[in-house]
Amino acid sequence: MIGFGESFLTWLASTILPTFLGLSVITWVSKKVPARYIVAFAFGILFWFFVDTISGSAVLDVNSGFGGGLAQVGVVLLFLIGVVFFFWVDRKRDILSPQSAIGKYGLTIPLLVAIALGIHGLGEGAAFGATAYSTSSTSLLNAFGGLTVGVAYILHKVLEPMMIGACYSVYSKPESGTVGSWLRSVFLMSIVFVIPSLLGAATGYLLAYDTTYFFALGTGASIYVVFRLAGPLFIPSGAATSREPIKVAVSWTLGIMALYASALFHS
Amino acid sequence: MAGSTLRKNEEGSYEATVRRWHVKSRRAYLLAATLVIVGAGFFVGAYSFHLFGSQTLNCWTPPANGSDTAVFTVVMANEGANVGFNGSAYHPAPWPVMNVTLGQNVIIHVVNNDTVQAHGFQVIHYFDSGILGGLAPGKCYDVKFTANLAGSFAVQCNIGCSIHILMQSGRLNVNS
Repeated sequence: MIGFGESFLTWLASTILPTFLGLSVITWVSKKVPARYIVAFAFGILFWFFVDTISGSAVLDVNSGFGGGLAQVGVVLLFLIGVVFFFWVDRKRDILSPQSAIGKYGLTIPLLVAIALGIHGLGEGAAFGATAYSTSSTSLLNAFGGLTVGVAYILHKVLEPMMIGACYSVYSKPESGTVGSWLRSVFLMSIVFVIPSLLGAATGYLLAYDTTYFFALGTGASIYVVFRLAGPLFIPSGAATSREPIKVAVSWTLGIMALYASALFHS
Repeated sequence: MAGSTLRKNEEGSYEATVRRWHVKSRRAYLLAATLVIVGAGFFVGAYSFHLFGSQTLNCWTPPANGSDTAVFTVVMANEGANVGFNGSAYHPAPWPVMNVTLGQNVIIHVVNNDTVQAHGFQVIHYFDSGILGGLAPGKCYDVKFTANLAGSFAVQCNIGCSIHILMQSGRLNVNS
């Protein structure tokens, strides 16, 4: 068993610092690179994220066939709630006409995206807390399989919040703000994204519970992010050239390959 | 949710009064949404904390051992003696090792004894797809195939989980 304080503080540091870094990098780069490519990059990350979270829910317990009982009903129900809830909360913010939402709602949209993406952290944190509690090892890194696993975790926590940063760059019009307001926004989005993960790590250490439910909820919630990130890809921006689709495809590929590369450290 | 009434004004023409029910409508929406979320949260919370359940499956009974069939049990766990695949966290690689004869039928009974998270199970060549998306906590699954190619094949977890790296050293040896 690893002590609660040691495991929680390690989780806190290895989650919030990479998150802040990832958000800072993507929002800074978005001042230099057209928003469409930033969004395409984030969209690539989202595809891997979706596969990852739905795996955490054991693909909504599909292996049980029709015999999964209440547990299966529970994960499917949570997935559906995750989908509908965010669309319902955000229904009045031009979700289907993204052009109209640009610069109109402040930080609301990126914060909602941060919550939607952060939910899966409940499951991740709980799995971490449970492992830290039950391991016979005295080293956290050894309990999870070594340094490369730690590197994989940190890299994926740099990349995931880039989806939030892409939404911030498109919907919140950050270029008009000061450096101070930019940093405040990045910090706020980081905190919102990280809180579920910390809750998971703390509760998972104290109680053993099934994380597949949280991954199911997180997978459903990520559908909202799909719509928020897909919309800006189709907003006209100046004269369209035949190179534009290729640039978008390359940006998307870079996104999914970046998360793939970070997962390689976990294998 | 709106109602309307028609009444004659002083000039003799009709004007409509529309009664809007926005406030009630919003309250009804909020109430319904709150009930659904609280109800679902209670149901799922209670189930995930194992306050109730309908689990009748006995994962600890391995499948019947038919003629010329090799049956193995692989337990995936996050605590106790079985951490990893059959305790692979405590054994040098390769672990676990399953030896079969070419042409033999093979059943690998996989049990996820972890109460917390899903884990993956894949046998290279014979079960490349792995258990779709991993096996949920408390569930079991029988991987069945005929060993028709001699060699040594990796047996591993194929989804992301906190102890994924500890479940990468299993082997299936098919001897001719």
